[in-house]
Amino acid sequence: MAVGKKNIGPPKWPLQFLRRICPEHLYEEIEGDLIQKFNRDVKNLGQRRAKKKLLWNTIRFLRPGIVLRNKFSFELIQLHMIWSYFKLAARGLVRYKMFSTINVLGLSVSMVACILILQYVRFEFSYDDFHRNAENIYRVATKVTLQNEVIVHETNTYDGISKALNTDYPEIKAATTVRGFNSDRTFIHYQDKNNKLVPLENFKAFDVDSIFFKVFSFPLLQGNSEVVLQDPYTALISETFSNNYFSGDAIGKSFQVYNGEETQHYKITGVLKDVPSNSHIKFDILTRSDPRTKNFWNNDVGFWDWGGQTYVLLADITLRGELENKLAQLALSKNGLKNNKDDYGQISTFELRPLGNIHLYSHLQEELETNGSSSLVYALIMLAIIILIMAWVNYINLSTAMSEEKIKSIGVRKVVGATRFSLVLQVLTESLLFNVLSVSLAVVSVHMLLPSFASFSGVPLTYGVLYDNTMLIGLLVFVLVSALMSGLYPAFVIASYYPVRALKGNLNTSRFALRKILVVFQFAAAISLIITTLVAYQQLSFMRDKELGININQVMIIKAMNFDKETWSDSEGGFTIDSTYSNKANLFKEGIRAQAGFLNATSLSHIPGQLPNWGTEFRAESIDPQKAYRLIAMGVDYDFLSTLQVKILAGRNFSHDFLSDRGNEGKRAVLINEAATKLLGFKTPQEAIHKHISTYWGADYEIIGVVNSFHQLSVKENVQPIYFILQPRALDYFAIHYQGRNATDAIEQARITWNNYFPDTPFNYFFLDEYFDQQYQYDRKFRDIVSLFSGLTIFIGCLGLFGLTSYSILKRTKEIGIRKVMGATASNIIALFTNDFMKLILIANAVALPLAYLGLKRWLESYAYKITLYWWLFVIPVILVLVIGVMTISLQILKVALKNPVNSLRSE
Amino acid sequence: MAKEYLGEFEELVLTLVAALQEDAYGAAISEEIETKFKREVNLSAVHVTLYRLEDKGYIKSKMGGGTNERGGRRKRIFTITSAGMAMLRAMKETRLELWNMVPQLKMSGL
Repeated sequence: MAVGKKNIGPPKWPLQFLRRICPEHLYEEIEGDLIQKFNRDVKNLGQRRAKKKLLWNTIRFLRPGIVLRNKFSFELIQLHMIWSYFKLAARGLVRYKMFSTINVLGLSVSMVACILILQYVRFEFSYDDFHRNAENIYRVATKVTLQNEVIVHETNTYDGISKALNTDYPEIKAATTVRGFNSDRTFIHYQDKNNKLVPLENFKAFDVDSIFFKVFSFPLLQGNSEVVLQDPYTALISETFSNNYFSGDAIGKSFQVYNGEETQHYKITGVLKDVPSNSHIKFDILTRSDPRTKNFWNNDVGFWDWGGQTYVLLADITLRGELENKLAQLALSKNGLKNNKDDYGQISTFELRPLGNIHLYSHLQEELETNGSSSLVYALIMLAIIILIMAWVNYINLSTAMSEEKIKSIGVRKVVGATRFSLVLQVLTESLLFNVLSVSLAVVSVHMLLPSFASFSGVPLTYGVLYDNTMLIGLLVFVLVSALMSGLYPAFVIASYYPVRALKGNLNTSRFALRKILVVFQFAAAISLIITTLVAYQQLSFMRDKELGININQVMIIKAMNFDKETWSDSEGGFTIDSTYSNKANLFKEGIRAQAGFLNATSLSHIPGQLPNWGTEFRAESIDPQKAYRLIAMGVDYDFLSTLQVKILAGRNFSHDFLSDRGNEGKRAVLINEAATKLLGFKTPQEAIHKHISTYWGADYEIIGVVNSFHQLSVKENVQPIYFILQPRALDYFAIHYQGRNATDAIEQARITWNNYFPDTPFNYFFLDEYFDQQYQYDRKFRDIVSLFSGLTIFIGCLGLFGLTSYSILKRTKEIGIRKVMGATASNIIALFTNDFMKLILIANAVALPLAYLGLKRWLESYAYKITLYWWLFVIPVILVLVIGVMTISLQILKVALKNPVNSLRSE
Repeated sequence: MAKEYLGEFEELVLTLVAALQEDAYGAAISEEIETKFKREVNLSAVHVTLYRLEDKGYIKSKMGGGTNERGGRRKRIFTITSAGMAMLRAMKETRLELWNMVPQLKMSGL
């Protein structure tokens, strides 16, 4: 083929193209004819036109009469070769056991992590996607501002909105409103087999309208979604409830709902499939009632009465902007009509949020379910990518290193006639084999890990990635991509060896600078993650250890049924209360206090860890009488301060001796916290005592005491300004401070007392410290996941380091022997090997430290109270990684360094 | 034999293989066509036709020598087989027969 190329001949590449398409046995004469023609053309037409003609003539050979002549032999060779590539790869796999183990281990561990993360991420993104019209459903949220400050931003909206939406807006197909209620405040009784009335325990329910199923498509097992809720006082229950309470035969049965004021009977017209776990609306029961006519103030329901969560189904996704404009106009025209005095000066606006991104992005007040964390999801995706790249890096590093080992065989193959293409194909086959092996291993491990993963992440088992056909195709694509990513670079390195030099065993080693860069990347990632873990641990324990200013330890909370009959009366200036229930509540508290081991008991409207959804705007005469200052409100009794150990800084607590403390809506005595004194412009707590503050709408409150600013919410948030009012009636929670015995005794004791006073009400209790700690659940998850991943990255990084070292030891066994003979000590030899890697790890530090510092600084900014980024938070991980790295390297070298040099020198 | 049929270009190429004898290879044939018949022909067309004729058994080939002009590549020399010769002859005779059927006088009589 290389004969006679001396002619200043035709351009080469058209002929190379010819070689590709032309059968071997015809190639020579055709090429000859083309060259002959070219040479004559050069004489007749000149060089340029001849070249063009040659190109054209060559291309014309791409025709079936030529190409089809080599079809059959072509396929035969390929199949045969691919089979041989597989054989070679399999042999290599078995022969270089350590290399294979490291690669398969690294790849499969990272793949397990990726598959599990994928599962979690897919679940989080799948929220509410099961509704038929999911992409056209929006939720209307409400933002209330006062003097340009947002005072309420929540998922509830007003009664008038859904009415207006259903009648006046052509772009909306349907609008439905749901109002949640649950076993905390409502009783549901059903008739069991013996016709006895039995209460339902722990239910979640929504009162909906007849339009509900025009918007949502929760699947029904029995009943037709078109008709089930058409009549008032009908209801649907879940499959589980139907089985548990009605033995699967619920249709036509009924139950009664008592909310403290009245009892209503509902007829069951259908059974729902249990609500999918990726729905942000979760319920066991749906009821449909008559629309309410009287509001909280005992007036007729108007536009501005709080309704529930409203969802609209748009006719078309493009109409969203139009609807938003119209809602803005509606708000503009109706805001002047607010006539409840509480709303004085407030401006409400409405926002639309697509159903699908409520779960990850909404984070408003009054969410139906704790929202997920989008930043956690994105952090996870990033971690998955990092860990996958780390495993690819290992593969790339080790297989380029090992290719030096196989260099002779590559040289021989090249001399015998292997093309670059076939060498590339062979290396890729090898990486495909590794990836298929790893992915199989990963799938098996994921299958085994799934149950514990489900309980850790909250993703239901049935939602497995592995049991979904489309995902299996995804997995296949993933394997191919992974094989390419890990195999492509080594393939080109190997294919580019010159045969003769390869046979001689000479290599230009400088091209392996890339290997060093990759090692630096791996360790930079590992170090950053370890620093992040450390900071996350520190920040979380800092927040949990921080003095809250309120005692949450050894406090038991019991949910109270707030069943006081209260009626608003303008003439009396407040509620008139039928106090039979609150008298019982007081007796219960007395009963608790009388027992040894219980220190105190109190009732309160909101417990620490809850943001009170109450609040009132005050004027601060001393600063700016025109401006409104919002304080959060909490209702407490006389024993709130002593039970939860909140300190009085000035003034006095509520007292039985002052009847005026009870007050009414127009005139009250209040306690405020220190944050509130500052907001209202008092310089010291003492200064605030006996000062009168007036609400924006005109009520007059006297400050009788100032308490310390305790953390009502987690330490992630700043302390809120709060005022406390005395509410002797029953409130939502009882808090009981117990001491001196273990918790189970306290629970039993409290249960007995509870049943004495409230025999009909279930005893629902929990511990305040655990409840408070739930606010850190995402921080905890983040910390756990980051620490797991930093462990994984350091593991994979060390695997790579281990492989590289053992390879270079293998290559330098003789050198070590000679050095020892010349008098080198074991530590000299360890230093010889560790120096190179030390340098890499140090460079990795230089890359990782600034990045980690900046990233963590930004992350910490989202916390109101944060740790300082001390230097040791960065130094410890660096030392840790250095030690682990040196240990990984030197453990292997030690074996060789301590060996008798005679043995290593003798081996040939 | 009667079923066999040659296209016009095939017949042309086959005739040239017979005529050029020892010098019958792709480039020469295409040159001959271009100079003698003033007809543009692509090299690949000639080659494909030659291979088809070889498949049909009208010509056979062997590798010849290379020249400098061809960058040292050898030629594939085609020679006509007796089947090819018979085919050419048969075609020539049918054509003659047809020709004889044309009333020559009528042409000049006009």
